[in-house]
Amino acid sequence: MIFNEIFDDIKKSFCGLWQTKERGNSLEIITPYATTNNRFISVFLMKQGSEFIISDGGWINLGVYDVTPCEDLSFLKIFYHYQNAFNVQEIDSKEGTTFFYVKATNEIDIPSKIFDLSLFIQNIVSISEINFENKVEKETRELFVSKANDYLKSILNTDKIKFNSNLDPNRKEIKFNAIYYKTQNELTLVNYVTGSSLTYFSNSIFKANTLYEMAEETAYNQYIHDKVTVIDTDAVGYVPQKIGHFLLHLENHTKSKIVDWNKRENLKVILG
Amino acid sequence: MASKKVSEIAENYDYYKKLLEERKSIFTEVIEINSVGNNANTLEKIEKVKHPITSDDLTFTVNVKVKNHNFFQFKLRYEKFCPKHFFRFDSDGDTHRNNVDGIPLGKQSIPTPHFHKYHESGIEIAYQTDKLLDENEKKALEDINTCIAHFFHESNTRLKEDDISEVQIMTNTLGLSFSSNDPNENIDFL
Repeated sequence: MIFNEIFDDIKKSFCGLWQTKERGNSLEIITPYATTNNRFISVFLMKQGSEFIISDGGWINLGVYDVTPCEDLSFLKIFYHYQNAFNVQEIDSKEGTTFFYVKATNEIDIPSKIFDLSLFIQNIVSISEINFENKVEKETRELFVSKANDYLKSILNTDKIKFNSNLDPNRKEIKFNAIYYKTQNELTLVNYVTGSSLTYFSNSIFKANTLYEMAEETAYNQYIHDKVTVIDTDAVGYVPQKIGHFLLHLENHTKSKIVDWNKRENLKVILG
Repeated sequence: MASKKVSEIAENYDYYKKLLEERKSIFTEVIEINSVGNNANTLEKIEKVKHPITSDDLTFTVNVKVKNHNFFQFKLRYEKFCPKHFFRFDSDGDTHRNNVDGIPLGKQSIPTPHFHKYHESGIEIAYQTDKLLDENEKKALEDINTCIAHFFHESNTRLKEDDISEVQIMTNTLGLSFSSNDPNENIDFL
């Protein structure tokens, strides 16, 4: 059969792609799985206690593959699908880098686990290349987050504020633009509301509303001293006569204080 | 072939070659890298670069991982021509796939450290210089200042005459240097 020789070449080519690099107590394994932006996936094998750990080395979160996973709902559905399908766990380092990993108790299972984690990373990195979000909306939000973060940094002790942070480490979906720790047991949740259209702006208010509600359901509720919503009054989607009733509901329902960006100096008084 | 092509470069490849090969000038003698950029884990500094081909400014970016100062990148960008960098060096990190017809699969894998440039088809490819393929020289190039000289020569970038910029990392702190290359270090997975 003429294809036998070709098949031998295919096998040899694929197998030849496996490479390793020694890194302290870990072994970097460069796999033959590549992403749509032409990166071969690496996984990091180490032993902790009696368990074998295979991690992504934090590379997805560190941006090593040159993509940033977004927070769009469609993306997250796909992300969780792969995470569940391959039973991939995650843990944050002290510096806040998220590591994705799988564990194997027996050596015999390591190749299979590497297969799973590699496919997970390959898919997540490749899917991160897709533009799920409206570009103008993404830019509007990123610009406001950057402006508001800079302003908070300028008026507060930066050691006491965490940006883009979870209230409860076990509930990663409840994430705030900022959490201000006046003391360790007295914290203020801060949400930014913006949007490049009326719809996006309204959705941003609804999201703030939901996040506050979910925060109240956690064990950390007793430490929530205040809630502050910062409204992007410069955004195209900011149409006071159309969104006023949503903001009123947010204020009454969650007891959040509303601060307009064009009166941002009020934040000094509220957070001071 | 599924590989993505950068059309600005494919359609203006002679211009791209001039951009890469002709002498570029930088004006900062000491590049101090003290603050993080878009990614909270990465320090970033951007400097202005001039090229005779245009009166626009080009940029030279240095990125250094906060927790591993031996993990750095140098990037040259001319944003008006192409939003992506047109030349780059990675000291560490992922292995690039040179996904171009005619390159056998077994030879498509280019581990770090490596340079990135563009093939005439507009596909980004990685390559290793002779220095990077030599184990001893590769070891020496783990030092960011030895490596920036290699990058300046490879990309034909200089300060005045034949001078090279110097990089200083975290000059605003006690000068603690981080260089662990084991990403799993200090993480308790159990």
